Amino acid sequence: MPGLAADVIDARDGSVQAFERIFRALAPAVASYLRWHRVADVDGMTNEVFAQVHRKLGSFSGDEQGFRSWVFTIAHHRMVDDRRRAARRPLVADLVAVEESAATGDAEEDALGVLGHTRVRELLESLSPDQRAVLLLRIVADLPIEDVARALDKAPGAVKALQHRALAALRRQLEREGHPV
Amino acid sequence: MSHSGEFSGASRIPGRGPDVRTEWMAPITTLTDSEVDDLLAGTIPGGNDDLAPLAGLATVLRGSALEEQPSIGPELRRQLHAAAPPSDLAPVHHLGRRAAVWTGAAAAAALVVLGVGAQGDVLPASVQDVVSSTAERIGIDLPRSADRDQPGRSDEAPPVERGPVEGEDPTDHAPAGPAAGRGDGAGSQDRPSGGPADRPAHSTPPAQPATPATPAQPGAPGQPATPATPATPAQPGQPGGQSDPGHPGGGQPDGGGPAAEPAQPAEPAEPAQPGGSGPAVPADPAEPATPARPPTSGKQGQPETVPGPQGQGTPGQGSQSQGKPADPGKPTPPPGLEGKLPGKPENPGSPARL
Repeated sequence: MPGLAADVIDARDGSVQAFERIFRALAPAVASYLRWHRVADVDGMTNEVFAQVHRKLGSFSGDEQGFRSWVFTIAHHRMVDDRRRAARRPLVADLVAVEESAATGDAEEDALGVLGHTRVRELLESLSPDQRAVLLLRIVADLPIEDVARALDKAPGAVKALQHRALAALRRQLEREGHPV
Repeated sequence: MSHSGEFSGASRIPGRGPDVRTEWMAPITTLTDSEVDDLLAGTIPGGNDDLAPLAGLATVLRGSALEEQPSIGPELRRQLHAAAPPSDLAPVHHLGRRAAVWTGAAAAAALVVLGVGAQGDVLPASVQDVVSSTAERIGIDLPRSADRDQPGRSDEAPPVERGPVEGEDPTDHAPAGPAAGRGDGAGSQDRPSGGPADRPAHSTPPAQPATPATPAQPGAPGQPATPATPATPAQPGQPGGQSDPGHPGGGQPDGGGPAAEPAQPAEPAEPAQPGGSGPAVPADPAEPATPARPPTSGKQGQPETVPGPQGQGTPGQGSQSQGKPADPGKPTPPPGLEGKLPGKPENPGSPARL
């Protein structure tokens, strides 16, 4: 993303086009992160995340990686808030929403994709919330340990430990089932 | 208590046996940070096939981030457009705002300069009159350019001597002529407001129409009536500098204005009023109006001498007596001299040109 830094500067100066480019660059990863966390309205929350990014853009200072980390920190906080709200409401529609959102239009691919996504989701649900957050921030958001630690408000060592345990738990789960992902 | 045996600690907490966590953690904890990064990137670190399922899982997770492109919702788009202008317009907008600020500052500075200059009466006469007339509308009294014709001011046009106006009754103090009320008949520069002379000097007025001929005066008993005074010919405009085309020698700098319009013809003299016992002398017909003549080659600021209608103008002093109330102390020139009036234009017929 060579132009992300310039887009951030332009967007901070009020450029709508620059912010739209930022949205196109980061919104898919943010939406994926939220989806794996089983957020009910992924598109709506993604828009909320970027609305907050837009509102707080004037207070941001840093480079591209810092901006990416900042965006996913906002997304994570939004996800935690949504999870707290979801604890007070039934989750019946959430699975349907996640599977429907992954549809690509091809029936066979959709079936395989849904199965794959379902399997991955089951694997992720076997993790603790912190382990899941660490893995998703490391893989989906492509953040380094330090940025994940800042996003989760944890020490880098604790994040590294969470990461190892999450990988070990997934490996154990995969070998028990004997199925590749 | 019957439940005491069930809650005995030894049977309730299972022994751990072999360390399962350590067993499953071993392949992970032995990886270096870079190998973990490779694993999370979807590659199998060090050819360890045991980690292939994990690499596959990471690939699926990474691929999911590219599957769907969310769209910007209407609320977010509204926020984007409401909070900030488009970047393409932002520089222009900022530039326009700066230009507006600079324009406003320049306008304010120009107003201050004009105000100070007008207060000090140092502006060119046309600008001075414009500023003073504008200031009068908002209740600020500023000197006019005509006020410069006061003694002691060497940088302005010398004071104008005002003589009686031909064609006017010397005893008549009522305004007579287009510049009525402009003076008091004694050379004063006082101007009542509202008269034609109050117009701004920057607009070049047409040449003054000829003064109507004075009707013949009834003669005293036993004497013939005074013949009518011929009409004063129209006066041309002055060249640039200090003269107003409509007011020859009036000290109005209007060198760049348009040419003066031709003067209007004079009104014919009225017949003498009966009242004397002597024979009434028929009034001379009024001279036809003389069109304004083109300006002569006077220097800027030093207009060519244009004597007043009474021939009392001095070099460099234009007469403003045209249209003024006549000085009651000065008699009307005798008949027969009307053809020698020094105020008569030398080159009638050609329009004045500035």
